[in-house]
Amino acid sequence: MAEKELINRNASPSAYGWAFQVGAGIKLMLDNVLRFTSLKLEGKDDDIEISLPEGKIYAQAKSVFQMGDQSSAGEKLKDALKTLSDDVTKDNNAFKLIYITNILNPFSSSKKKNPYYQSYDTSYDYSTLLPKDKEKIKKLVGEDFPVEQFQVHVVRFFGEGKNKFDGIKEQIKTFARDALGDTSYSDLLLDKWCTLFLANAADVPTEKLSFDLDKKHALAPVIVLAINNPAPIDEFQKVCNYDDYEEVAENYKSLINQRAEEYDFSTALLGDYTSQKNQIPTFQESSSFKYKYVSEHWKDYEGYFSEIDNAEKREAVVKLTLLTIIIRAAKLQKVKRVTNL
Amino acid sequence: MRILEFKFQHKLSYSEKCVINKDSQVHVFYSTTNSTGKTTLMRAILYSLGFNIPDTELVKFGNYEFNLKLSVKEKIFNIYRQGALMKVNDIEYDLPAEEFAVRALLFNTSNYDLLNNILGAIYFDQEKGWTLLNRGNIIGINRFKIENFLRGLNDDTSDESYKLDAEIKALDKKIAQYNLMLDVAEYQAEVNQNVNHDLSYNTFDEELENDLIPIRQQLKIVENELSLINDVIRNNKNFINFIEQKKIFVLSQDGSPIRVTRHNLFNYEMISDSNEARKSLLIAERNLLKNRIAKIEAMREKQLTLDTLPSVEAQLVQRLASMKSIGAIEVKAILDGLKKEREKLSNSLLQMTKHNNVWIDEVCKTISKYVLELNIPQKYKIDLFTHNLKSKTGAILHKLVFIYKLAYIKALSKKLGYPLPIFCDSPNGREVERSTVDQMLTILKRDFSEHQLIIASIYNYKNIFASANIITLNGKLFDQDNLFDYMKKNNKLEE
Repeated sequence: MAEKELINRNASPSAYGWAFQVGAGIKLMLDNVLRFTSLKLEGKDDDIEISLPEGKIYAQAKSVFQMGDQSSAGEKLKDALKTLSDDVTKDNNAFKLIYITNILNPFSSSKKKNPYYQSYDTSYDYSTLLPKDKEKIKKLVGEDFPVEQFQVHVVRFFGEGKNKFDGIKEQIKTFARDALGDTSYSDLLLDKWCTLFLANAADVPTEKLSFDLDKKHALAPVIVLAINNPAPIDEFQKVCNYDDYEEVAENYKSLINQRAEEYDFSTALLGDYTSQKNQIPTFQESSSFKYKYVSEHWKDYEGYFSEIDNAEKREAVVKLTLLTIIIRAAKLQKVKRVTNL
Repeated sequence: MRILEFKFQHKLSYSEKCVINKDSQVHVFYSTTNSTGKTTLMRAILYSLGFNIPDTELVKFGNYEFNLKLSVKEKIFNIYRQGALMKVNDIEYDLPAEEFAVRALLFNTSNYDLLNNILGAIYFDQEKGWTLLNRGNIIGINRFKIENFLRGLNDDTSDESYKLDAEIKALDKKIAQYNLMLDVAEYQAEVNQNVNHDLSYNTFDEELENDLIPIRQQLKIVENELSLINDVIRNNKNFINFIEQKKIFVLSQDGSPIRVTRHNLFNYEMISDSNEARKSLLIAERNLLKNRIAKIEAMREKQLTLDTLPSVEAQLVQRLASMKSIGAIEVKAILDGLKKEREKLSNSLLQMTKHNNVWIDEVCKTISKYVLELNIPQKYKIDLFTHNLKSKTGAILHKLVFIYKLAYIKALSKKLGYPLPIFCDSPNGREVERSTVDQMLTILKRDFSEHQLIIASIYNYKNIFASANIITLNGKLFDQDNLFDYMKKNNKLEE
């Protein structure tokens, strides 16, 4: 739905700019996912701020509608560098200064192709830039501008609706594989980020969308996806013969979630499960221990599900709940590891 | 009756303009081009005579003071008119309330029918005058009606004809009403046919409403989930608060006691983090949904204000449609009845008008004489009371109007006992040949030499009226002159 909002808002250049800024924000956040502590987007001056323990990353996000449109490159570079100069004047502890854009050659308004800037989804350190572009930058910033902290990121960000985010989605996919063990989550993840960012920015007038989220909030979509669904059918079938997984998973989703969210229930289970598991000597046994545990101990938890009359169904729900909580805990551990949350 | 002098002054002007300053049988308001004020000048004279003459596009008569010197049967009237105020020999009259009093004084008769039809007899207006044969609008609200005119000539003031006339007027009003009702009936039938009631006036609004339904449903789901997760979070907090308050200690590996808090409780942080994550996304979703609902509702509101007018209109149409239907056939039947009744009364009135009326003969005689002279073809039957003008072609009608009016003027002058002036605006209009106009004017010169003749034309007719007073207009007559003009004219401006 947030995606729909973004699509609808694309009618105006400023909305396109905001979408690009969100995409750039996600990219830079994922670039720094282990160390970042907060993410801030300021629509008014195309600002992205990423806080790290060692200092802030200031980024300027400038975009064009049309692929190949170089006409505003010079002007956008100038604006971006001016804002970055201001940032660095205010905060002399800046860690990095980034100009992020979807203009293929960010340094020239000329249509002529420069072989040096040929591909999207590339970043350039200042030291790797062409001498004439270095000169250009130096002319645009003051003497005290820390050029060694300056980077240029060129991302592919064109098209209609969701397609715009294709370049960034590759990165989201990689992240989803690492954190959630499944690349297919990338679409949902992008959707949820858009929802989150837009909703947190939507209180202020649309021309000046902005938000400031700490790490926990910024990564909430990842956590939510980790705990989104009950354990999958193939896992379920390893502990239960009940033939209608869909029925149990759908109709009791809310109950399963509730038990998982309740500290006393989930801790009673995870505490018992973990302490037993820790006593298992071999890795192979420990990876399949969850099925064994659920099969053997589900009756211990049956009392929490007395509202289900049918005994078979009750067993299925209890088993699915236990398995879900165990799998979720493992997923959350993984997310925490990958994101250093 | 003769106009001896006519002058006027714009109320902001410094000088008076004298247009007619001598007695002359014939005055010609002449200019070779149009739009120089000829017609306005002629109307200004009639206005000064107390007639209700509408303003012309550029000249508002109310802005001028008019002075007119008139002689009627040796009597001299000094007339002053400014807007509603009229003074005749220094006696004030308030127009239009005393319009007939003034007219009665000036024209020397108290016969209502005559006073009411004088203007139609003596004035050939350039627009309608030359098609107005025996009934119709002359100018503004002034009308002419042959029956009334003839009854006036005959001094027929009987109650009966008055009653008939009043009844006909009432019937005319009714007929007009029923004509309107017939329109309504026909429109209503049309509405009933189109509608039954598939005319939709709020499709856009409904569309918005339809958009809202799924969003509201989704909002309900999200809010439900949000309240569940809030409950769980609260319960967890209460549980942890309880444990922390209980001051529970566990043994550490080295045997020292460790206080149990939320920070060292197994699994607590994980659960609370994931619950908070779910909560913040649910809140985000809820806020976006609410935002969208608010946006759509704002659009609806905007739409509603925009819709007010059409919806009022729609309501009216609906009301018309739901009204007990007025049968067009029924209305038509009534209308036909009324028309028949009117015809009957008109015929009675006509009979009464004709009864013992020597003036009809008089008028007809004059007409016959000139019809011959002006070569009106035989097939045009002379019917004083005709309602049919359409069958008469432009040039013939022009001549006939001229002839009829000459007959009216002749009869009226005879009745009043003095020759009435003739106001003739643009006699050369339409498809009339110059030779015909000359022929017509020659008749005037020959047979109406006692009548003062006032002509407005792009010709000066010197060939016919050699001694006419030709007043040449340059288009500035009614302009208000400024102080500069005034001083220059009076040589008061120092060079």
